[in-house]
Amino acid sequence: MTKQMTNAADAVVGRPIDRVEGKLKVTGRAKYASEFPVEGVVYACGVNSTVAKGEITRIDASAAEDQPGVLKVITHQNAMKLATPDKERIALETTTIAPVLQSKQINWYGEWVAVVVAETFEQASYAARLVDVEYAKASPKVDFKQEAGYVPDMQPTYQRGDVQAGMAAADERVEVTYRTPVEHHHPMELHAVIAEWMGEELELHLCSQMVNDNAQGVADTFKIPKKNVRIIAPFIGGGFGSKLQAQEHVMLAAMAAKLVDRPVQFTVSRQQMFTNTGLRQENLQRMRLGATRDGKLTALVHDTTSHTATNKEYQEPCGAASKMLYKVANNRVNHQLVPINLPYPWAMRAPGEATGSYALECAMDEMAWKLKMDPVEFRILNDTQVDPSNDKPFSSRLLTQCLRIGAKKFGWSDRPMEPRSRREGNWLVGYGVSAGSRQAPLQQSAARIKVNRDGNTVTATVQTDATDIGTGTYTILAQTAAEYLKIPVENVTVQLGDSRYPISPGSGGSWGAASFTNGVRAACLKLLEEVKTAAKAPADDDRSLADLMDDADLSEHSTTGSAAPTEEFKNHSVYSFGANFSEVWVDVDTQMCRVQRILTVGAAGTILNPKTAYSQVLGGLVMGLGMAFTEQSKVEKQYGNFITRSLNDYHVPVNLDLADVQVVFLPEDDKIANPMGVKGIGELGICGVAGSLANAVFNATGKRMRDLPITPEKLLTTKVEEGLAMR
Amino acid sequence: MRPFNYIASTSPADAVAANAGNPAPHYLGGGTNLIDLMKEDVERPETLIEVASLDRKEVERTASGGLRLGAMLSNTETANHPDVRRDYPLLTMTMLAAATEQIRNMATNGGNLLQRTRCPYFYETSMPCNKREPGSGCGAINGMNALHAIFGWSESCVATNPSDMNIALAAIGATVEVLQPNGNSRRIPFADFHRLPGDEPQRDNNLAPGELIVGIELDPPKFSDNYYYLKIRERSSYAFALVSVAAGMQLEGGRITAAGLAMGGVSHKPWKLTAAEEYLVGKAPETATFEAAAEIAMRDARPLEENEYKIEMGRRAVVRALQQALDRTA
Ligand SMILES: Cc1cc2nc3c(=O)[nH]c(=O)nc-3n(C[C@H](O)[C@H](O)[C@H](O)COP(=O)(O)OP(=O)(O)OC[C@H]3O[C@@H](n4cnc5c(N)ncnc54)[C@H](O)[C@@H]3O)c2cc1C
Ligand code: SF4
Repeated sequence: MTKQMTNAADAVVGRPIDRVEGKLKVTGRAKYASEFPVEGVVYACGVNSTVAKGEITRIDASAAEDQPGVLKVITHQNAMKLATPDKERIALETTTIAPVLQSKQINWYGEWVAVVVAETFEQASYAARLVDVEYAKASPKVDFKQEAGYVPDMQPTYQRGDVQAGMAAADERVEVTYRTPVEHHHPMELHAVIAEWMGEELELHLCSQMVNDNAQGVADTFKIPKKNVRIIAPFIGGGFGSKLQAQEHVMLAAMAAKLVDRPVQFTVSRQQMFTNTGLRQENLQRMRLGATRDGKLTALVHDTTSHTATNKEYQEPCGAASKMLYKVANNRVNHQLVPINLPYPWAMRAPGEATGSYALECAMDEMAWKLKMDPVEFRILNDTQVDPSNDKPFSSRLLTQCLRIGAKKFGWSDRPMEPRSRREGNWLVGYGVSAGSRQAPLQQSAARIKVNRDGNTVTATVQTDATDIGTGTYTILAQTAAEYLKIPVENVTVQLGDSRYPISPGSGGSWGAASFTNGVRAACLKLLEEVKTAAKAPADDDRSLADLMDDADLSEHSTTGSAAPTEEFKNHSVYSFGANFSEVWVDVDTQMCRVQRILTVGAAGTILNPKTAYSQVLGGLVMGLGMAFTEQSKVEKQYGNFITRSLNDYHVPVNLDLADVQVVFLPEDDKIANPMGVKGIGELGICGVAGSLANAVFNATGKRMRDLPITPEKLLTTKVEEGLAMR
Repeated sequence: MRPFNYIASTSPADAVAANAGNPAPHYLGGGTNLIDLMKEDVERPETLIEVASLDRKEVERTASGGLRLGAMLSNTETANHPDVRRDYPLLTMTMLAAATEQIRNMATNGGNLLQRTRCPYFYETSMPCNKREPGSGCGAINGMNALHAIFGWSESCVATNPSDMNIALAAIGATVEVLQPNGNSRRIPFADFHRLPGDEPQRDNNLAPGELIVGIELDPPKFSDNYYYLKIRERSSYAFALVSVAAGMQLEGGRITAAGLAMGGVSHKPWKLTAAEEYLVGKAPETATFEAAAEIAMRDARPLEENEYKIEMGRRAVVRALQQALDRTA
């Protein structure tokens, strides 16, 4: 379990209280997007292309249209005209416009080519099978390694110092390439939407991580004012980034609702979540490190090549951590993109940092081994309190403490440096370590607070368009309001995920908790101030809100407040840091791996609720474990489709894969980050995990696993590193 | 899903009669495979005849001292039946390595024998597959075939049989009891039940149209002391085998007196390692013996472009499964 050492016993913030919405969820009363009882709702089912490149030459929808219950079949021939950007490739954003069914062009296998609307889901899904589409097929490009790339505008090449000179000055060099496969987000809740037009206004029940940005995207796609789009998203069953933007199916539902003049429910199937809701792209990361014999880095080069869609552009910044995590004067980070006929990549939990930290932290391990240095000490030796990428001081950085405390708690000193030297029965045993870092951004975030007084009891309602994607937003906002209004947490009601509420930045990029809570705090303080003014009380009057309202003769009051990053914040580099330690067992014969334990130490500012924080980090660790050992989407070489097409083939880890998890949060008080000292943890949890596990596999087996996931097949066919004894 | 008719049959005789009298019929066991395939539009029955609730759920002692497993008994109940646990722990161990608790609760023994391949080309109707659509070609043979066969495949199909239970049955020896549409019974030795693909890969087994499996008769128990099911897979549970080995030995006076050995994940049918079994008999149970048996076992392997690793994996799996079987008494 978690340990939390910062907060005083009587504070509400920092207490491991249960999720305030927990009972609603376990009793099925929490309504998710597809579950809202909308009167007269009809069902849409999408049809996907079965070629990866080419043109639709003919669509025969008559058999589908003839089926009972079918209201309409929409194709590019009869679709509404939507906004289409004139750029060849749309750079994807959370507000991206998402035109769909606008042309006969096919860019990837599984692209939407039609949508069928019927009275029931069964009628729609059967009729969808009957839509007959013919294509002029062109031969698709699906392997980006064969093609030339370009440097995307969103990730210009970064350079400091002279990397050639740095490499030349090194005593030891590591030059290796790591590959990570296509992964898919696969939140438990399928992507779903109910779209209903009320005159000119569009109401969407949508599983959305960011309602405000999504309202913008939808409005721009349909060329209507943003205020005409209302998004309602009280509960979201996970997103991992895939629900950051309103994707094409949202537009399809809204279009269908308009054309049949009924509310339309559209649920994307699990199979379609491989092709129509984004993915983490395959990356090749070429790492070049130089270091002096005494362990100082002299150069660090991180070159990434990945793919994007032919009509949409997204690049995960794999090299982000390589710019700032270690002290090295000579540094270059470069990203290249190759457009191919695969579905578009899109932000997946810690985009760039999850995959980039695997490459960086494995390369650091390879260097430590070359230097015959302890990898913990090697990292500490290259630690820095100033961000070398912008020369700003870190607002706080406890990486060294994370590593030292973690090493002690884990029993790191038991680890023989020599690989293949520990065995338990048929298992080879290894320990691995990695550092993790994740930017801790703060974004402008507003909230409305309403308080009601009944005698001595004050109850409060918090409203913000922030979302709870399973992370614990409801709970931490209730705690924050209770803390600053000084009322019991039971007296606070939190209402989220409605675009009519004050604007927050939404859940993404690990900024949610910090931004939302500081917004709520600001609103609470403003409310207190207003009540004190009305009560003619001095600013430092610390009587209860009930007393103050009584004095002011108020039975209710409401206000809106917001928080935004300060100048001081902007003058610093603000990050969360962590260290991951893992023990992996590898079967000598079968080459199956088991993770015996993981210990993570995080320094992420104020831990608002150790219970929800633990869940967040645990989820990140499990996802990191999946990245290391099990998860991959395999592309068919000729057809360009994913042959892993269900959760039966796309392996997420199971309980047996991971035995014991310990999460420790270090006390950290960072008021530069924000007044509440909160930093993100949602993505920190996954950063570095795959690196730590791959390094443990090396320590166990002597094999450098530079191609994820680490499967029995790959372990069996990978040779022990040169110069190591095959014990 | 396509619309279909549903018939709840009341007896095996009733079921086979319904099968004969209705268009495009299909028996429905637990539905864990068939319903998935219908959702994927791979199987397109017009009539579903429910058989899982039929009264063929017993585990009985046979005259020869073996056990007869009702075809409609669930995989969970079969694996955990006290007589099965005592006399055929290899079968228990194997069945519990399959799928998940929830799926095993639904899956029937008859359905398990007949579950269809997990070849991704078979599942995706837009790709060629001779098994799904005879004559359309085999997508896997020159495509993504890391998970495919190394034994007994043909130019028309390189798929594998995905069942774990089948592998234990091949090692133990069994007979499948079938009710024919004319009401007669028929007994098919397990080794002849499944087929190699040849040029008819659409046929997974030798059941005739309309035949209903009613029971599985196990050969008399031999391996209740020394047995092991080794399943190599990409996560620790809830994944099909890359390669698996069911191993059983009977030991007497420091010698192997009987051996049962079969391999999964490598062929269109449960791959019985007959030559290796024969080699083991009469030898001392030790690593050198096991290694020699493993060499024999893998001798005829013919890998495809992406699955050569299965040869070494299979060799290791045989040695290790035999060692683990031995270590039960050690
Ligand atoms: C996600 C997932 C993972 C799985 N993992 C594994 C695994 O690791 N190992 C493993 O071995 N299995 C695994 N399975 C497969 C599972 O074991 C089979 O689906 C199950 O055994 C089939 O039994 P059923 O009764 O549900 O068959 P059904 O789906 O009902 O039927 C299968 C076929 O058998 C026919 N049939 C059924 N009963 C009879 C009968 N009495 N006579 C004649 N024909 C009949 C049906 O017509 C159909 O063609 C997995 C399944 C899933 C969905
Ligand atoms: S291996 Fe068999 S099942 Fe797979 S594509 Fe070829 S014919 Fe179809």
